[in-house]
Order: sequence, then structure tokens, then C-alpha cells
Amino acid sequence: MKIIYHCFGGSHASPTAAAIHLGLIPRNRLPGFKELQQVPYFDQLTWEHHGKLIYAGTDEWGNDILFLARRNQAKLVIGIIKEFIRLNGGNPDEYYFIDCMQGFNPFMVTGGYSSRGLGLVKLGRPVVTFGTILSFPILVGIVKRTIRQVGMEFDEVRWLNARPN
Amino acid sequence: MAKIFYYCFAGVHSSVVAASIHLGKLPSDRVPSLRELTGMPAFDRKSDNSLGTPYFFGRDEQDNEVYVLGLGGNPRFMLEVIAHFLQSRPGLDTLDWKFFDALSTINFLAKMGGFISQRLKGYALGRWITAAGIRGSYVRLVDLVTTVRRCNRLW
Repeated sequence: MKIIYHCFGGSHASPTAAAIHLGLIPRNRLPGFKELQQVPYFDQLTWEHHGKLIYAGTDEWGNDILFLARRNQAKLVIGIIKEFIRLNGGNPDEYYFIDCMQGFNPFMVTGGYSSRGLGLVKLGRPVVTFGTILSFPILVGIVKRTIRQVGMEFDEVRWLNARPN
Repeated sequence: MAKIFYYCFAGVHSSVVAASIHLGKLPSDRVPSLRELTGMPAFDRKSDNSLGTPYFFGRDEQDNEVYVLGLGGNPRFMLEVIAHFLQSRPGLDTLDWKFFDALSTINFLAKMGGFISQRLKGYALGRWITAAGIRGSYVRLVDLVTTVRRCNRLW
């Protein structure tokens, strides 16, 4: 199974969700600014990465975890990817797409746009990091729900309290 | 054997006509009548859920697969999505996947007809306006297909 977390720019919510899934950051408490900024690809992607499936790692059940920047055209982008998987002889049901936009808040939107859209990294990065910290519990919930939906057996308490890899 | 995709906004007008010319379902030496255009089953079909779904149109004499595809209002981004995906498939020759823009060949009248038909759901009126617009742009569509076929050494 390939699990793909997607959001507008693929720079904040989706790499954070992927890092939560892979256990790269602690799940049982809010991360600090530095911890979050050390998440691979956090606030790093630019326009040329949009639309590209980016591999984040393999989880403990052997699923490939990826993330995707799909701008504001989730339905069309996911539909196209699934159709071209089919045309290539693959099985689109093996790809599980999860929308991370529900975790967005105004800090993430303004900070993300300043940092990624306008290139004002010094201004935008702290704001978007703060916003992502606020949304962290929502992202943990999304990942938890995803693991359950793809049918993986897991002990929720042990999973939440696992030490970061 | 290549896969040839003609794309436009909704994948129901200009791309369908281009694919039909490519496969010889529409003439390339004259402009077809309105009835010939609107009589094609795939022309102006309802496209609510077909955006982004390649529609297999047939095989040409070199066994290339010909598809029509609707890529919405931002085709450049969608082509980037497809290119990124194809490049990520190991062992796949991406040169065999060819995409051609049919939307840029048609005139304002055809685009307006497409808008009336697909966006405003005025199928009865929109399809005739589109067909009339496409008749005006037909030479450019034939030019596009001629170039595509020449690149694939079909003509």
C-alpha cells in the first residue's frame, strides 16, 4: 500500500503528517519549533515540486509513505494520477490519498504563503511553524484515522507514546 | 507503439475532433458539416466526472493508442503532474507518451459554445455553437493532426 498525504503546497501539513506517520517526531505532545523545522522537506518545497509524489519513507507495516502538493485541485490531480496508474497497468486501489487541508489554520495559510509563495522565509517560517504546532493534534488524528482505515493493527497508546526514530 | 493524447478543457470538443481526424473518422481534406460534427457520439458528451480521465478513442494504423483527455483550466500543471508521475515509473519510456494541445487551435466561438454546453449545462444550444466554431478552426485542427502524424511518421 502507498499512503499519500496531500495538501496545497506539500510543504507543511503533509510532510508533518508523513513525519508523524513514520514516527520522526513525538506524537504524544506538541513539538517545538526546532523539532518541527527538522522534519524532512518542512517549508522546503517550491512551485516546481508541485504535482510530484515525494517519497518520505516506509512505515513499520511496510507501507510506502509519500506526500504531494496538489494546489487547490485535489480531485483532478488525484484523478489523473489514479488514471495514469491504471494506464500503466498498476492498481490505483493500492494508492491511498489523504487530504491534510482540514488541519489548516490562518497562521499556516499566511505563513506558508509568505514563506513559499512570496519567498519571505524569515517572516513566514516562524508563523507557519507556529500554525503547524497548533494543528499538530489534528494531524495526529488524521494519521491515526488513516492507519485504522488502511486496516493496520496497532496499539494506539503504544503508538502515541513511541519514541521518535 | 506510442500513446497519443489530445487534450483540451473538458475533453469533449476540440480533442475529440482532433482524435477523430487522426483516426480518419473525420475528413482532413474538407470541412465537415455541422451534422457530421454533432453526430459523433463522443462529441459534447456530458463530462461531469470525466475531467482527468483519458478516454480511449481508438488505434491508428501504426497501432498507436489515441486518447482524448480533459485537463481543466490549468493544463500546464496537470501535464507536470502526469510528467512527474510517468518519470517516477521505473523502466517506462516517457517518449512514448505524447500530449498535444487541441484547445489552442480553436476559436472564441467554439470556446464559448463549450462553456455554454459544459459549464452552463446548455447542451442543446452549446453543442451547435461549438460545432460552428470548430468548423471555423477546422484547418488549424487538421494542421495539428498533420504535424502529430508526421512526427509519428504516419503521413
